[in-house]
Amino acid sequence: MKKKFVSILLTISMAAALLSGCGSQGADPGKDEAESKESAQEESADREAEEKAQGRDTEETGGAGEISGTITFWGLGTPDDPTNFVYPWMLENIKLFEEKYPDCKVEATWVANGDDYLTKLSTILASGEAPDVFRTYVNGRLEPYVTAGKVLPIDHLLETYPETASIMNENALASATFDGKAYAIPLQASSQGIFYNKKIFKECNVEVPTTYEELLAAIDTFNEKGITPFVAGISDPWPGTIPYELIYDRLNGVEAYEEAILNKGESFGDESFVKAGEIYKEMLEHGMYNEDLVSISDEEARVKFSNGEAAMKLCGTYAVALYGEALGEDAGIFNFPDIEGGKGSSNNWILSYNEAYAISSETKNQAAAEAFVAFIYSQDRQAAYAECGDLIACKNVKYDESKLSALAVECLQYMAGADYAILPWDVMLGTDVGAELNNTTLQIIRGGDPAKAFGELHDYAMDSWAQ
Amino acid sequence: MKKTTINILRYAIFVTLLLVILLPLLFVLISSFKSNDEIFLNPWGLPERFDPESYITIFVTNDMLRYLMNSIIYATITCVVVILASAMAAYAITRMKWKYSQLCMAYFLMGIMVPIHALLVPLYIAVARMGLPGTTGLVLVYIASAIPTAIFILAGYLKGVPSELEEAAVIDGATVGVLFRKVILPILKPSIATVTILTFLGVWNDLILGLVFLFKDRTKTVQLFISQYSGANYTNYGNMLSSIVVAVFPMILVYTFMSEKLVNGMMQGAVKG
Amino acid sequence: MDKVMRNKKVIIVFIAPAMILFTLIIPVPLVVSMGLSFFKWNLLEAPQFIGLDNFIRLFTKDAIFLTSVKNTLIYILLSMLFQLPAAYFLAILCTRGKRFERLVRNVMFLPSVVSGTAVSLIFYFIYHPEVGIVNAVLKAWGREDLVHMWLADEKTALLCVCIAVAWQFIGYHMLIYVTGIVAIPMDMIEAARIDGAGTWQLICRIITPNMKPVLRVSLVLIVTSSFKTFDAIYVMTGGGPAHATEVMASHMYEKAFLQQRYGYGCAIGLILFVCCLVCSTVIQRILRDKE
Repeated sequence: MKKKFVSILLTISMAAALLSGCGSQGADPGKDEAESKESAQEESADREAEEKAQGRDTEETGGAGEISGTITFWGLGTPDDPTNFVYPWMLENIKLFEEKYPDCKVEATWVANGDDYLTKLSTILASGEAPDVFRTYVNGRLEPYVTAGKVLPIDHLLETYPETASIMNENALASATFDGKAYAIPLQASSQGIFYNKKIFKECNVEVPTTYEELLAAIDTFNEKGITPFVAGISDPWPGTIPYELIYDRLNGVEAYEEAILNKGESFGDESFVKAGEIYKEMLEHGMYNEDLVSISDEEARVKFSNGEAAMKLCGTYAVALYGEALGEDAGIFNFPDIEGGKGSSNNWILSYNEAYAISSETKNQAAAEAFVAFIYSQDRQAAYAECGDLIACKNVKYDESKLSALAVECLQYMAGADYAILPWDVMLGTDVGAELNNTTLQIIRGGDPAKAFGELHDYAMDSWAQ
Repeated sequence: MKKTTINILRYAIFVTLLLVILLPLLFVLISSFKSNDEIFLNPWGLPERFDPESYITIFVTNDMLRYLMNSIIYATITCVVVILASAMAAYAITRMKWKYSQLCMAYFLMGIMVPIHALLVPLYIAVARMGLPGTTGLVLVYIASAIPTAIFILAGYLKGVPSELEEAAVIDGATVGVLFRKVILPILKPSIATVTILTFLGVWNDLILGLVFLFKDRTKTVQLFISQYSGANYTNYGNMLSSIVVAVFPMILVYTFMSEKLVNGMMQGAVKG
Repeated sequence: MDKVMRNKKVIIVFIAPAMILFTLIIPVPLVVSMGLSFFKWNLLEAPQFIGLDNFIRLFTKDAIFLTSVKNTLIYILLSMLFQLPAAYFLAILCTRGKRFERLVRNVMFLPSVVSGTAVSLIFYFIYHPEVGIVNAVLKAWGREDLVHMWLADEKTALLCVCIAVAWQFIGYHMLIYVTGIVAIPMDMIEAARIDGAGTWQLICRIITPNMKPVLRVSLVLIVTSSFKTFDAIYVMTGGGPAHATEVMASHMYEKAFLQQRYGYGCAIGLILFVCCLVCSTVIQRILRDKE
């Protein structure tokens, strides 16, 4: 009996030890919130002082030869994926980096898809042995990493490497900035637009629509000719929300969006959301989509569009290379047109910055980690990435546009001339409410009533945010 | 007359079953020769041409053999340890007389009910604190999570077997060690075959533990190798399906080899009768 | 005999390896994870104790959780219904020493070897609204009215997943039953035969009573594994459409990792664990040995 008691005690004490170890910086779970926050701040202040001291060291001793040692890197990517430009580019980065700094070695770990990456990264960060440089997130999803002090601010890096500082895009950095400090550098700029098949448009005598009415008319024309106007696959429902976000902008304009989505000030029960839902419903009733959209995947829809089975597809610019290759000169892009009487503009693009890289605050080799990040954000390496056909977040990068497809160049021009960048809503709303927003538009697509659907979303969001 | 009808019925059931099971599998095999677009555009037809390119890619360019070997090593070690430890424990629980045997069984059984995803983070932290390298930690976790099911199956089986043989052996003066080796293990043979198959299968098809515990590319398991073909925005179906087809073969070998043991067990039963 | 079987040292030696290996790895994280269900933790900042808040929220606010409990129960019932009787029947059919039995046994086991991704892809195309086999058969049969978007319809999605899972795992349970049948001494069966027992009587009087421990094992295994089911759901439907196939484990993963609310996920995990515990205890009680 005694033995049993001892063993139980042992288990509990081990568990308690583990539990306390789970927290960041060994903060006690029993402490109340204010206290632990305070201590975290103190710690981060300490760290800053330390960094500054270190920084002076590096500047004084400076020079490429001093950087040595092994750093670990985690990325999201996989070989054999023609739409993923990061993987081959990063392998080349590592090779060239190790050539430039012969005493350095980069050990890379790759995970193929986003959910798995998040699972692995969360687990390792919770155990307190983060990789030196890793792919992270922007905006709301980066914030907890910053509050928990898991990532280093990049200001020291930018001071040390003026070349990298010179190509930074403030808008992109803004998505990783908290309390005036940037903590990660985004690599990609990614946008959503209506890709269209010029050949089909020509055959049906349809011009690129400039108003909502024209878009509706175009949908009717395609349906009469037996061509799917928009192809979509929402077995995973997020692509069904993108058109809704654009409609909302065209109707209600930038200010409403900022108030509702960025500041979370407006409730989803508001008239503006329902009205946008009704416009969406109108388009749906005109038969904008393929009938089986709810049961096919976005990937399958992309295949159908590349095969010329539909006139249009609302899609992220990550598919630019795919469409550019499959359709060649026949592929074009335009933005969702203006709605009469609406406050938005067809020159507001959904635009986000992704694939940000950050340096862990637990790194034991800050100098090498910074050198590596600075290297991948150097003029040459950014040019190399841009020439793969993806849109980059950095600015002032000179590269050879002739290596890009006509479609990619067209996209770039639009992005450069955009009046306003709307962030994809789910990024701002957080994974929880974001996922429910997708279910809300799914409900509308399946014939549900917009007022009822958004009423439910309102309840869900209020509850979730109150927590 | 009646016998023939029954026999015909039997074979009819067999043939239907074979078709229901094999046709979808055949789909995987055939699709592995198709290009990505072709899979969606013509899922059920034969490929335009049988192009072994994806098989060449997975073996030559991506070195699948290494990852197959990794998984075989992890699974074999797991199986050997699990079988030995669990057979001993199952024997102690079902045949030996002690106060806590039922409690002990219940304690192991707890392991079957643990939802692994809720455990991942503390599990990883616990193993990392022991200072073990990723691969050793992973195999330990595989072993620990396979032991409950193994004990459960072995004990369940042993309970159904009369203990006359053992008693006879004890009367002949056998020690416990000899008894276990010469009597219990042979009796357990069919059940051990089952446990081996299921344990091997568990390790073979695990993705989430391998994902969390392994860092170096060269230590990856075969399922991690397969998962690399389904990217964030794009799935390379040709390569993915080819590697799935290849990954099935070692498992089939283990199954055939082990089910041979099952049959042997059956034959012994027949001889006894 | 009794003396040998009561030797404490021997018992310890036999039980120790499994006990040590198991205890080292599983119980401590299990206790930690149970403890974490009383915390709010995003895996990054320090965990914050919130008492029973997670549980209160689960049962009063989280409608998706309640749906997932309902779906899990349906899933368990359908899995038992689809898999166990068929597996039992086939196991008996395939242990009679006739021709082709080994072939059938081997082929039946094949699907459980194939990874979940492949199975989900197979059934994606079987249920596909345009090119899928199910709809093609219905059309050929002249029942256009039954043509469906199987996996995208809330009413049929869960059922379709259960069928796919049954296809994959009947062979698995069959294997367990085969082991049990093989263990029944031949002379018992022969004796019954000589007494003039027909096949049906043989199954009811000899095989089934002797299979009780094995049946219990397989019941507990299918109930616990169905409670914890994740892979099949996750790759086939991701819990959709609109949470119609959300089960407890997929909801837990979603919360714990994708939404970074690990404490909340652990609370779901704890409930899942308790459900498994209760159900398997009940099964064990019902099928208790008549000793």
